[in-house]
Amino acid sequence: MVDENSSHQEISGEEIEDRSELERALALLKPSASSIDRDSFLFLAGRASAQSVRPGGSFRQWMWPAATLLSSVAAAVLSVILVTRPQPAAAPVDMRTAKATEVTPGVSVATAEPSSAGETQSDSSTATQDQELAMAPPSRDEAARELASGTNYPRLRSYVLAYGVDALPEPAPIRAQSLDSIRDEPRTQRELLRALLQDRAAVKTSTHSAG
Amino acid sequence: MSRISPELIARLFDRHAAALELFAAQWIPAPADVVQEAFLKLVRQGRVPDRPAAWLYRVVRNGAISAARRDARRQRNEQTAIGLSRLRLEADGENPLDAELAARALEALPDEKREVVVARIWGGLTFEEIAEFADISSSEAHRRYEAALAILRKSLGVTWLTKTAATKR
Repeated sequence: MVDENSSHQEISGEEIEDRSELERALALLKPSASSIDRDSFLFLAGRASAQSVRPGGSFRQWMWPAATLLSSVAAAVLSVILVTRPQPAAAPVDMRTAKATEVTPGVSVATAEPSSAGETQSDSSTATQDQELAMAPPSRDEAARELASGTNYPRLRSYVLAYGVDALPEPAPIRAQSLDSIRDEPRTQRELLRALLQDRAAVKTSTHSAG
Repeated sequence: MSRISPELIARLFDRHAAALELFAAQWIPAPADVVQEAFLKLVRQGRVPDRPAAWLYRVVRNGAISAARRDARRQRNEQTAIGLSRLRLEADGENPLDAELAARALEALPDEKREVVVARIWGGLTFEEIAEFADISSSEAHRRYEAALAILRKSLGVTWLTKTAATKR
């Protein structure tokens, strides 16, 4: 390495002339010819130019990274929400365990965990409990009543799901009809017509007699 | 900025490709890839920068320095084994300077001075353009150039004076 302090010395006129000659002499030296093949370079340049002006090129270029970023952000947000969400006030009642804990018939088994003293339940938890009560399996007596009346099918279904089909009470027996009543009933269309006409004639005579 | 045209790219390539390879050879032994990538980057950009030559020199400089850092150990081993100058200059018959000696003198310059000399003499850049790619002021670029020439004059002095005297006689 040459001493650089020489550059800070006074510059004489002869030195300036030498420098300009040195510049000229250096400029006469040519850098070696480029090792890049000109034709192949221009071909590559043309292809790169076509790729850069292709319609929708930038959209295609950024579509997948943007979609990936978006889904990653969504996953992160959902994870945060999942971790930080408030715990429900009452734990959901498992129907199978509810059967085991049922003590007395007639009392709903959908007994939620008792709330601690002084703790006020929110509206949402109350609504949830109402729903659970509506879907809780009835007791055996209630099931028998509902089976007889044919109402509240969801409660009946939850009873079957909780205790099985065999636990259903016996349905009300079908009353057997007497042979006489069966015999009196019209069996053909003609008999039906005749019976109707007889009924009609009876009504007419009764009205005439009343009038 | 106007759009890049094929004619402009061809003209820039013809004018600057060899000088840019010489410029990049200051840092890396195989500068062709870096130079070609700089031209292709210009094409992909689609718009002509205000100073295309300065833009190219900046991109080549950054690419070459990055590549040099990446392959530092490998380059050092290769250079030691070959023992040749990386700056390739060719002299015509009438030049009083010996090309190999000039290349070695150039290589002996500090980096910041050498890049200014190469860009000024073989790249034909103005001091403003040199200042742009080197992130310095134009007066600082001029100062470095003068300092570099002073060093070269001293290192090439004997050959220079001898050949000049011989020519004058």
